[in-house]
Amino acid sequence: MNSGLLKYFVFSSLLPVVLCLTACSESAKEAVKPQEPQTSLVIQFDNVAGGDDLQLGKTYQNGVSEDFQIDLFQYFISNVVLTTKEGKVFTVPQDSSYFLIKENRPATQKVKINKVPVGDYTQIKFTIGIDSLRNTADASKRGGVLDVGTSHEDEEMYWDWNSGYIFVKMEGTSPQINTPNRRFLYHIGGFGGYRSRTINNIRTKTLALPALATVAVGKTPIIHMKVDALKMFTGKTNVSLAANPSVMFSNFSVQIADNYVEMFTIPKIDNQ
Amino acid sequence: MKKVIIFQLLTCILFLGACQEQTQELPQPAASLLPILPAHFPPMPQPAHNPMTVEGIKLGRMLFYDKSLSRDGSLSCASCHQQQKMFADGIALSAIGLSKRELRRNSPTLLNTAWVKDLFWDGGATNLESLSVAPLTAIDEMHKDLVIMEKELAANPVYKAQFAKAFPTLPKVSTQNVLKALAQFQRTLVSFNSKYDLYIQKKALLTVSELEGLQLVEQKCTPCHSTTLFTDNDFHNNGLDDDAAFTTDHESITKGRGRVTFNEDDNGKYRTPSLRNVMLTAPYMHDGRFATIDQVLNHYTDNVKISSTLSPKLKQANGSKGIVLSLKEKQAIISFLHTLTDVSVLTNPNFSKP
Repeated sequence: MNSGLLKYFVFSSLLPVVLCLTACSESAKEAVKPQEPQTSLVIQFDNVAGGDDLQLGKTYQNGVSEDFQIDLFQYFISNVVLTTKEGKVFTVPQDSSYFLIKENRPATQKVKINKVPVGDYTQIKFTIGIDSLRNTADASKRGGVLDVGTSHEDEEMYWDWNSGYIFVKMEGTSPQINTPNRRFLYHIGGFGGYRSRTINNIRTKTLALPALATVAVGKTPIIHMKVDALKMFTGKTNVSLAANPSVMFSNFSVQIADNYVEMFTIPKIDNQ
Repeated sequence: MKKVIIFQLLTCILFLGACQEQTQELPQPAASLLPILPAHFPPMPQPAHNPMTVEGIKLGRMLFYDKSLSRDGSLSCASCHQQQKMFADGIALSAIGLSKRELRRNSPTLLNTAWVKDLFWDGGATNLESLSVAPLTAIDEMHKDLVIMEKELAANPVYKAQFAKAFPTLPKVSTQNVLKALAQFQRTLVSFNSKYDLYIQKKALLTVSELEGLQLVEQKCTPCHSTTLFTDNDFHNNGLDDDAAFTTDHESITKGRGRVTFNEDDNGKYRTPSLRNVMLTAPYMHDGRFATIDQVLNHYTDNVKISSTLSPKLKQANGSKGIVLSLKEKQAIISFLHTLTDVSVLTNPNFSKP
């Protein structure tokens, strides 16, 4: 056997073994799964504009007195970590810790996290966007909301020419924008680069809960997460839509990411 | 070969035997469809998360040739990656996409794509599974809404069955599985049956002129076009344009690699295409600007443009630019390049429309 064939032999012989082993371990896991009662927690996202419920198509004003209407607003939340009052940390298993919240699809705004250990939770931490590992992972690791096929083309959250997810997407119009269709397109992403360092717009947010969120058998607390869309343009820096009608993969996007990290607040917890 | 397959089957049966609860049938590894690479070829890299299987490759091939994957049913992947054109299209910049607008990049051959680390001319896609989203959805290409694509495929019983066979652990008609299957099929598109390959295996002789051409390629065209794949799969500025050409227009597309890395030092760099089958894959360069191989060689000898990122390989010690080649040497190189043509690709039944 020559060396090429040998390499092929080793590779092709190992392949079925790996396949079989993977299959084995998965079914074994199933078998020993304990019958624990289901305890969970809900995060209810409520997109707002300042003090009011966000309405697509309604006219709002930004920090530089430009009128605008939003017609698309959506964002990824991922890698959720919960902490109890005793300081115990529950990291939501990564495979079930990616959520895509869309303003035009109310069902996406209620996020239920299952298998949350019983406890009184005081803090939540999450990523706005998608961690760099998942961004660059093979498509097999990118199912569920990360599967690009789950969104219609206008709601797509993926850059295909420079593989990576869009973390926060907002589109709309402003009469102050001096282009024929007066549209603004804010597609913010950038995980830091694959082989060299590029823009990193991954932001994490840690929020103290305003009251204990008590998870127990039969008790599923609801964390009400307010997300103020106007903060896209006012969070830290006032952004002019007329000056920046299109913000995508560019250095300026970092300012928008620094703005959108300010969107999230938790006004109340419902314990039930 | 038979022994290898039998051994594989035995190992699989052994492990399956140890695993009583296993009920799902695993897809058959793709040994019968995987090419047996010649000894001088590097092993084919395959992602562990998407191993090639007979059924996966079959599904990928069905999808590759299916025009329903484009918005109006007019295009398949094979429209711009044609088997009879070495899985390229022979056009500088195609305008057959849904918008009928001219693309900004030349359609590259898919042959030996399995070895490419960073795909597209600028390396913007880091794996084959991610890449295919682009041509499927781009408004100037197939412009398909992937949600609609999934629905249509799921409504087709033939596809539904094939997805189940190809991905039994997650038997879903999903874009994720479409991308995986397409990647599996594309990795089977290999080319290693050229006269040069026979020469390396001591099954053929090269003529004096071809041998001279080989030596010249080794001296003057490496390491970028180094053997055996005849590409280093890396990014270089080969002097097509000067610095003024690298602008931010059209999402900085003229910056080449630079628009992906955000590094000015990468402006004007593009992935080295392989010299394999080069005599059948005109026109040349990322934008198809050269119609003939003579123009390409003349570029390297006479027309290299200075820019801040020009490859050091194209700067001579005496300060002049480009590569020094006599007319006779160019002819020798061309005669050698002909030995890299692998006509078996054109008629390989495993590559054709199913």
